[in-house]
Amino acid sequence: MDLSYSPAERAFVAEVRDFLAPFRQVLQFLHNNDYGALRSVYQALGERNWLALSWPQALGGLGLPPTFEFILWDEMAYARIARPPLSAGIVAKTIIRYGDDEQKARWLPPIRTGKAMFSLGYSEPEAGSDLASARLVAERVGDVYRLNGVKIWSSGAHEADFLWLLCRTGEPASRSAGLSLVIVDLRSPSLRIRPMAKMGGNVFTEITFDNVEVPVAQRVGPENGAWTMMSASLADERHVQYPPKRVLRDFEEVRDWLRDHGRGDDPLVRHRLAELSIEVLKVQAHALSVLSATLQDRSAVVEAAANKRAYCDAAQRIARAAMELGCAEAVIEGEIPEALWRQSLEESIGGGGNEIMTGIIARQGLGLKP
Amino acid sequence: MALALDLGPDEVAIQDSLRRFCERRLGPGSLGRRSVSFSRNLWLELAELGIFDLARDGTVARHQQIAAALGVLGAMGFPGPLPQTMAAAMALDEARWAPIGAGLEIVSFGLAPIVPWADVADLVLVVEDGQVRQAAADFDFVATLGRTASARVTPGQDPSLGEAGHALAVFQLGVSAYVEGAGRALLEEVTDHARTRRQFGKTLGEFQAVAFPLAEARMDLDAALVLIRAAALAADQDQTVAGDLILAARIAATRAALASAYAAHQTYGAYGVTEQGPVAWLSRRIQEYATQSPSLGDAMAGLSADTATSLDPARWAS
Repeated sequence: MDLSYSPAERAFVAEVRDFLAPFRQVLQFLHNNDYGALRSVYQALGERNWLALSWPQALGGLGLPPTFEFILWDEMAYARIARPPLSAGIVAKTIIRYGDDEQKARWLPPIRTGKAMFSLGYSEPEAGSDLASARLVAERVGDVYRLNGVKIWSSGAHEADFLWLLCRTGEPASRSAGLSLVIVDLRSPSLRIRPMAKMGGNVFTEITFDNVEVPVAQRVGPENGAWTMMSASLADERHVQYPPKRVLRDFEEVRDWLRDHGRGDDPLVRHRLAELSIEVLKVQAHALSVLSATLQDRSAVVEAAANKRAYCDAAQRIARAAMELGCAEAVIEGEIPEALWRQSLEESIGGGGNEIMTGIIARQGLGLKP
Repeated sequence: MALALDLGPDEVAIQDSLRRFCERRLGPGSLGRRSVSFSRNLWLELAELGIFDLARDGTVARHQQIAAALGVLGAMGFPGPLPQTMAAAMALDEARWAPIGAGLEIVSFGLAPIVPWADVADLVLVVEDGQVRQAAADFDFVATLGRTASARVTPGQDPSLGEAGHALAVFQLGVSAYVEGAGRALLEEVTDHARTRRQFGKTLGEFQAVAFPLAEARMDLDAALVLIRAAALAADQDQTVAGDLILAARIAATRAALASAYAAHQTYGAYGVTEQGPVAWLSRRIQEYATQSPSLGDAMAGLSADTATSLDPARWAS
């Protein structure tokens, strides 16, 4: 058992903190709505090749162990600057695993340099958590797919360059066996994007496809082979999706806010903060379990589900405790309790809701079939 | 060496050995084990495995091995003052420790007024004002929830045996490991039941209302286990975060084990609240250890302002 970073990892922590210093005012981790600022961060990361920390060296990456990605995005979360971009994570890692040489040559360089931003097109009005029931049709017509249907709950599609689209290329009833992944240029004609403001301050979009044509060459992996690829790409990203230092930062900001508002000496407040510090540690414990399994190339499905669930629980408990223990100022717009209360609501819904995560633990961790 | 949370070969070997011993001597199933009460012969056999040497290898305590051992003994519901003996090893001189380490004499350890296993002990140590003292000789048996042969004790008049800090830390770590093991054993047992027991035309585990509390207990036990192992490792390495992690482990393990016990009671239904059922005997002990002093409230009050960062690998010295 070992719980300390190697000298190289320790040096990387210091290097990351230095790198982040000029970006500390960006604060896009929670809000994710200033896309200009986000692009500048991602491009600066790209200049250091830090968007490709774990990619193979033959494809322009640094070939480093997952611990380096964990450190980068954990520190980024603590500084509240940005989340890992979809492009360098799920998209790039799927292309690396399943793309052909032309696709690797076309897509990986702009992703690695932070110049191509992607949004995720998975959910539909009738397929939220149940993605196997996705219906958006990709009809093959010669060298193109003709897309018709609606995607919804896609974050930031109105500002991104491309959409990583899950679409139905098989029979309507084919469920998970009839789905494919294609890359769609979000400036395509006949594609309409409608933003919807979220309580947390960022934006969902609804994307309507009306005979949108996409070259077949932009399908990644085999036709009808999306399901396996989606599972594999999720596995590749588990160690960076829910960084524990986000909840640590929530905790520290709430603690400091309560102290600054004269509540720091209240025994009830001190006790509750001690309780919350245990919640933070539990998130860290789950996150390290995911990282440890990933480093050993073991499946981390149950560990990742527990990590996500614990992360959401902690974020919400911290925010709600701040409201409960705070004073009247807690509800003022932009104050820490108010902002965290709004934002933390969405954490247990996106990326597989609490019910989905708990179901995974029950099924795969305990062998039950809820 | 890369970051890793798995047990080392020594800890795995200790666990395997203890598991085999318990299955042989206590029985393979929990229904058989629940009726095994404390016995000096059994205790002696356990000591002969060298278990108490873990607490006292010269002057060094092997915290990771103590935690690994007590985890298995908790899962098996092994009766007797296990965390208490490990703690006492930190406080006694060599001459007083020798017969205890050999299993010939029994010691218990705790905070007044109620000390588990005191009624079967030859020596009872209590912590008062940060010092370890021998308890006054005249104490009374009290029947407790966990059926731990407890006694109501007071500190004696003899001089202090020394500072209680390390002994208390080992005690908290030991209790954490024992209850986490007990909670996990209950969870495994009740999960088997939920997979096979049918009601309303399907297995219990197909109902989310049944499956989810069990999944949540599993999640909390997993986090607690990491905290216990991290606390033990930190203590072995003399990391500055060790004190906070031991207290955090006690809190997290206790709550996770209780959640597991409550879910087990509920899932078994009426059988779950019978004395002959598979839950009561361990659930009673978990709750008693949960309530025992130092309390969870004491543990909470003892956490430092930096507790929340104590699992950050960046804070650990290489």
